[in-house]
Amino acid sequence: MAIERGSLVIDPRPDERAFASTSVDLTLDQTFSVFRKSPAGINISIDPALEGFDHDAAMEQITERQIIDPNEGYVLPSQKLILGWSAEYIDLRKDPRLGARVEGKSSLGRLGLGVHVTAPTIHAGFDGRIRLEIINHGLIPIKLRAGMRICQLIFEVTLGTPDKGYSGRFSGQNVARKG
Amino acid sequence: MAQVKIEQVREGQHPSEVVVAVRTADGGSEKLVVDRRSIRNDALDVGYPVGEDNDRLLVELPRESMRGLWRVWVKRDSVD
Repeated sequence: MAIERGSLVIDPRPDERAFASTSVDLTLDQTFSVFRKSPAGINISIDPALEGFDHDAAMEQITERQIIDPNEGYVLPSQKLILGWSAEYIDLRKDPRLGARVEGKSSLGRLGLGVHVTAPTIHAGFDGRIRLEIINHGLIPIKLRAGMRICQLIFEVTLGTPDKGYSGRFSGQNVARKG
Repeated sequence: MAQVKIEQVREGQHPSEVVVAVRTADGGSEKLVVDRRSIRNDALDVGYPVGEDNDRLLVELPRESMRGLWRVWVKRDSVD
């Protein structure tokens, strides 16, 4: 319904089997990042609270972009973390009350596969692909394939009206605008 | 809906992503990763300013900055 109303965009649109009453399954993009191994004898650490810390630049230094082999897939070893993305682009900007959480699939969870690390919230006003922190908590390697159903978005509607994103009649009435 | 001016800094980790910088009122900048589709005319949607103080406006970014901030003070003339 939200898609038909235009308050939610998912591109490409998942097929009908991906939808449930309050959720939609998303699939795994072919691009992912793996953490580089430190050379022998070199210990590095991350200091995210340091003034001027550039998270994305740091990630560029310590990770390496890879593409999931379309035939072989990518085997995620036990206890390993990689960064992935949803294949779908999500746009929540049209409805300022609509937010979401990204959660795993129970069928994958039982294998030990997690898709986020403490940050499941997709804020109202978000647009983009969903970044996934994919970790194999299990003891057995798990093969990942591009296009597999990797996570689900569970939609939430905020109570009240957020300051950001609301473009209705009373928006910005308490704040003087330029011009 | 208001838009805040940004500068594109570099490619993001995913081909769909771009790192952008928002110039803050104190002369610094806040960097964040956004989708390419989020950028229109070198600006980002920020809803409506959530605060003001003389020539500054407090805007809420569409994503958390790399320093973990959602809201930043920007100069009024950087918001259209």
